[in-house]
Amino acid sequence: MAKEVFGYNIDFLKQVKKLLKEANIASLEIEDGENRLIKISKKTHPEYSAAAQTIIPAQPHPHSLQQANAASQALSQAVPVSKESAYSDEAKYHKIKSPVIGTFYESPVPGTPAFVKVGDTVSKDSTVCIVEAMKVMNEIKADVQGKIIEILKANSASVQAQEALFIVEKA
Amino acid sequence: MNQIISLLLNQENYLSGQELARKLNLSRTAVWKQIHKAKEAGWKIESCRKKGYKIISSPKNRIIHEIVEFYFKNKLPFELILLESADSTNEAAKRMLLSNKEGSFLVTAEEQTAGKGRFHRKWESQKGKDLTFSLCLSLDKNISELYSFTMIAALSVYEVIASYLNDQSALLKIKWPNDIYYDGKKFCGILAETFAEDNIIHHIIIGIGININSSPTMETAISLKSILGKEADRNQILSEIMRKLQENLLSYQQGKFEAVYKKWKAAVLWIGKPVKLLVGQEAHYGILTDIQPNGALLISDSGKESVFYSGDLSADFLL
Repeated sequence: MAKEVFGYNIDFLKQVKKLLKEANIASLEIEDGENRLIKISKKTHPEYSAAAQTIIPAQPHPHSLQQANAASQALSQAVPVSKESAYSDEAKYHKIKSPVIGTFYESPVPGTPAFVKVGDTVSKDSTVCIVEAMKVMNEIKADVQGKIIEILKANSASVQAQEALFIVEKA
Repeated sequence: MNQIISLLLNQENYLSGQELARKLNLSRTAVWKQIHKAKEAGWKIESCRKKGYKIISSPKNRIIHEIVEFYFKNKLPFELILLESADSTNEAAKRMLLSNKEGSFLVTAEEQTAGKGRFHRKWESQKGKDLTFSLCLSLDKNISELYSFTMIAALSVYEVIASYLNDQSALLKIKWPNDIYYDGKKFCGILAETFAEDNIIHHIIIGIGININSSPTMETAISLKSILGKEADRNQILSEIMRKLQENLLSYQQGKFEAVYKKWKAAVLWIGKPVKLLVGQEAHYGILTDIQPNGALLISDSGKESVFYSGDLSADFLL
């Protein structure tokens, strides 16, 4: 018979505790009625907590909250603007898009040079990256002749179907 | 030589040189020469002065076209290309496509010098002992259909191997997305590669490695021989896999993919269990609530359900 604590298998509780630790939770207590089952507390990293406080104050002042909202709105708009729409001129630029949802890989094998880097010239048949979904490796071709001027995704990032991966300046 | 072997394989008793010559429209000397060639290639053929020729045994540790055909009992559904050695059968298939090879075909190699898994993780196999092959399908399908084909491949291998295991077949499981495990040990790996053009896939290469008669050195791997305690006929297994592939592909073409998916799902590990999915460096924990027909994982974490399309799935993180 396995050991029990308040009616719970002790090995089970240990596993739960281990899982919660891995999940990077700063502080957590689980109680069953009056019995405390699990307590986890981590020292928070000083820099991290300071940064967190500036964005979301512990007791938000109405004014500062507005500011924070405005700032985050501006941020969420600013990112796509600088990335994609600057290249909306289709005569000049070509976007290499991912045909599938999956994971973006810049090189054929981890730790080896990327298929392409910014400044490289590509032809229609050049392989520019792999997008993997469910262990099917999709080799993505440039489909156009030109020069890579921007890489929009980091290695092993998730990508959506039809999401732009590269900007090519047409030759 | 091929035709003589096929005729002899399908004959229970002796076949005379005269009869062979007549059936193949050859001279008796030509028949004799061919028999001699077959013996050199490793076939044991008994020749009896008055009765003729009879096959005693086939060359050991080889995949042989005529024997695969013999077990298949029909025209093979894909062209079968046998290679002695290849870097990997996926790479060999890719080169064949690049040199404008057409139609669907299946390439096997007795030996892979650079067998690979995902991200070129090494795939070990022993020369003449295991099955390493790639199925290249020529199709014009939307890329959203892609996963159907690797599901079909995994299910086909699973069904054939399960038929060899009898009452132990419950230990055989498919691990998402498409590997096969026996009692937690890797038995078969599948790696597909494709090249999409405008969201249409014209070809998919499905590489399949199955441990058959080898004795895997890695503790995390297992072969059919180590389960059954005896060697199995790779020619027969390959022919049975080709039959299952043909059947399951036909179901798909006839719009009955639902049936394939249901069988696949019934063999999949960990549905309803707590799992960990590693996507790049990021770990996601939760309950694997379902796997959809398009292969997407549904993982629920504190009531919030997320959909995943790639990553390394495991369930042993609790240990």
